Amino acid sequence: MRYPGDWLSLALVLIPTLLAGLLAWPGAADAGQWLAYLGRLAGVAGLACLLAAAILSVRIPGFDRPFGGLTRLWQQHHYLGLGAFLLLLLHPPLMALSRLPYGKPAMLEVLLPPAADWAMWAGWLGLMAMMIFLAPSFQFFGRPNYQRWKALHFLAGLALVAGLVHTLPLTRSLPTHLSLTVWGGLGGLAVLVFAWRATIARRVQRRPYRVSRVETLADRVVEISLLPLRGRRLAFEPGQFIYFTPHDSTLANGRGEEHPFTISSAPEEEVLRIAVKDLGDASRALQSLQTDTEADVEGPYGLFFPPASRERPQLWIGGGIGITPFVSAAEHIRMGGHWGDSFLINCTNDPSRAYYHDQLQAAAEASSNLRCLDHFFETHGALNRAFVVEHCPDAAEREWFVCGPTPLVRIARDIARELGVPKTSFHSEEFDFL
Amino acid sequence: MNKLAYTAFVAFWSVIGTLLVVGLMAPDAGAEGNDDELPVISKEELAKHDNPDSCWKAIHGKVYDVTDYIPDHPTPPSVMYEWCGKESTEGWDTKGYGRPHTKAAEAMLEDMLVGRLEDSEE
Repeated sequence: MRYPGDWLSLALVLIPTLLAGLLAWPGAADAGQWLAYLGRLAGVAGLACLLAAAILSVRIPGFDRPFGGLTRLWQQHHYLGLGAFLLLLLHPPLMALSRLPYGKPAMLEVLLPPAADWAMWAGWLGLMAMMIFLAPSFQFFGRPNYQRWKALHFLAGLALVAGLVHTLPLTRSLPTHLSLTVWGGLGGLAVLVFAWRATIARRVQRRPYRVSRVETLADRVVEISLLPLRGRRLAFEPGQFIYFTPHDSTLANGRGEEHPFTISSAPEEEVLRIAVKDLGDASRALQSLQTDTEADVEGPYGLFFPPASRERPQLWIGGGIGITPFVSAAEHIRMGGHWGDSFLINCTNDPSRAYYHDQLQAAAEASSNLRCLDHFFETHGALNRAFVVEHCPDAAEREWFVCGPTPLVRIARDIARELGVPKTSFHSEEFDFL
Repeated sequence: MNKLAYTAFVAFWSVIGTLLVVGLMAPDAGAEGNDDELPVISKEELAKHDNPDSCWKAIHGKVYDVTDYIPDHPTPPSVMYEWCGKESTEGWDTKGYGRPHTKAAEAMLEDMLVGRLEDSEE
């Protein structure tokens, strides 16, 4: 329980589950009744997980902060989805088996309900919808296309409503008034959040920007500069990210599609900058984004540098395009931003991939509390403990911030563990299906 | 994590498939009893069992003693007691949101059978 929001997630799941577990306790019952109890409990806990996952997917700037940022909030959402999936898969087999003592027709009634039994069919419909929209999330059929995955994820709305339609009339685990309060409250909130996300959220939260510059940083990497078309510029902190939606009609792919990008400019700057590496169809198309075209920006999200850690001495390890939050923080420090002593290890394959080398060195020269060091895989091999300790002897006493490819984050975590860095002092960010 | 989800997905359909095959293909061992051999219970006799200490109900022409089961029934006892000593077929067929009781409930009810209601056409 690292952040206050974690308690909310836990409460959303535990309140219905514990109530049902206690109030429907079967006592000295036979095996069939115990199976029915466990089956219903799996259903209650599974639905609670599903509704909690929906509620946590609200995506409003600032809502993610008590949860440690949107990346962490999405991780919780993902785990809740997994919990819902596993528990709700247990529910029908347990309910069917609990009917076996009363004969096979009683068991079959669960698996193949009478046509008029809409509440039972709603349960099956919700379960099927859940299987379809979660299959890509768990990569049943390989890594899915990002936009297709997002579109399919909207089937969650059907699963939510069908789950509630199934549960409300059939509930046995909670007394009617309590069932209506619990499921009405949780379900109502989840459906509201879903409706918000599916309808007006984008229109309300997106801000119009103009692409003012597109600069090539290296082969297959560009930096896009954006200026607000209307209103004030975005207020953000170093390490935060935005959802960027380009509207350039000449784009070969990804026009009108939103993708998350970490901000590489400082909060003090008028211009908002993001760096885009060619990692797929949409990001490849963005390499040739035209200036003076419109784009939408939504955010900011994320909490890479938690406020409580910013004053402390820090070790930054950035790799590849994962250098962007450190570029933002370095510029912030250069412009006089209040920040703890920071030591950056910029990990790249070779000097040609050190996108922001000159800018980072300039920031370090201008600031007494920032040092930057390059680590080239080609020259130094993989990052290791000896390299870290040699250049940053007090690394174990620092807050660690790591952003980059998964292998680099893993290596950094291992080194931190070897050096005895507390888990709470290790902060990493990896993007996956945000 | 993804492997766990996929394993659960495959296990789910394996279990559901097995239960369906068993349920649909294997004959049910249950045997129908002969209603003519049941004791005949008059409407006056049924009406005497109209209280929490002895609660009988007539459902589809048969009379059941549900006294001991009422505390375990999900419906509040006060509602259940209203129908003691009375014809309760409609309540049986349209419980809750209008659907009949389940076959599991039918099987449980058979254990509470005490007789056949006189002049019943069912």
